[in-house]
Amino acid sequence: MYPQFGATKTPHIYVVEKTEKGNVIKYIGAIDDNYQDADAVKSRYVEAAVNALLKGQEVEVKETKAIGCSIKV
Amino acid sequence: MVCFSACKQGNDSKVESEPIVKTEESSIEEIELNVYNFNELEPLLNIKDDKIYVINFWATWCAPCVKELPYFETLNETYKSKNVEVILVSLDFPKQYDTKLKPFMVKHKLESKIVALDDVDSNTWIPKVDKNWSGAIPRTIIYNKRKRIYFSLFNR
Repeated sequence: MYPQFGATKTPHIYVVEKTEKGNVIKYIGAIDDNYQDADAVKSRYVEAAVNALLKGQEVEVKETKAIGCSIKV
Repeated sequence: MVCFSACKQGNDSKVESEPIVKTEESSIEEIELNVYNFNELEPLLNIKDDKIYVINFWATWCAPCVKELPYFETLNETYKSKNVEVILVSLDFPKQYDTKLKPFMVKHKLESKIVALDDVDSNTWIPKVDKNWSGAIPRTIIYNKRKRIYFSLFNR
């Protein structure tokens, strides 16, 4: 992941859209806003990004920050 | 009633046969651990006295973090008498404080000050620590009242 997209830690989600010009990164970051309790999640970032792309819309939240372990590169 | 006393009997004999395990378990629960949300932690990142503060964000599940820890321990040991304070901020999951973090603290005899940060809203607090930080750990801040420097494994 690192050489292509610059992933620096785990978990680090990339949502990539295939376009005529090649793959374009549409979202980078966490899966959602609560890594401890799935029932307490308020924003599902990846789900929202994928849904927006499926509808042909812009991704609203393009990047989020989350704690993760550094990847050796 | 009969069953109850029988079970109790069973437990008692188990304790007797494993006294060492029992002692270790209770002492781990007794270990004090200050758990903060970010608002409570933030003052520790902005102390304006004459000391130099070394703040390391880490977790027991983060292999490179664990690898670095002995160096922070050495730093703490060497410089604590020279106005330097090391604070290790653990990002371990709360449900693993007793099962992972505290046993780790005991096993490695950590001497530096340790606090745990429990704040799920990382997208909000990570940029408050450092606007250039992606959230990758280990991450270290060294600061005094005049200057602040950030370190990470790959400078991100």
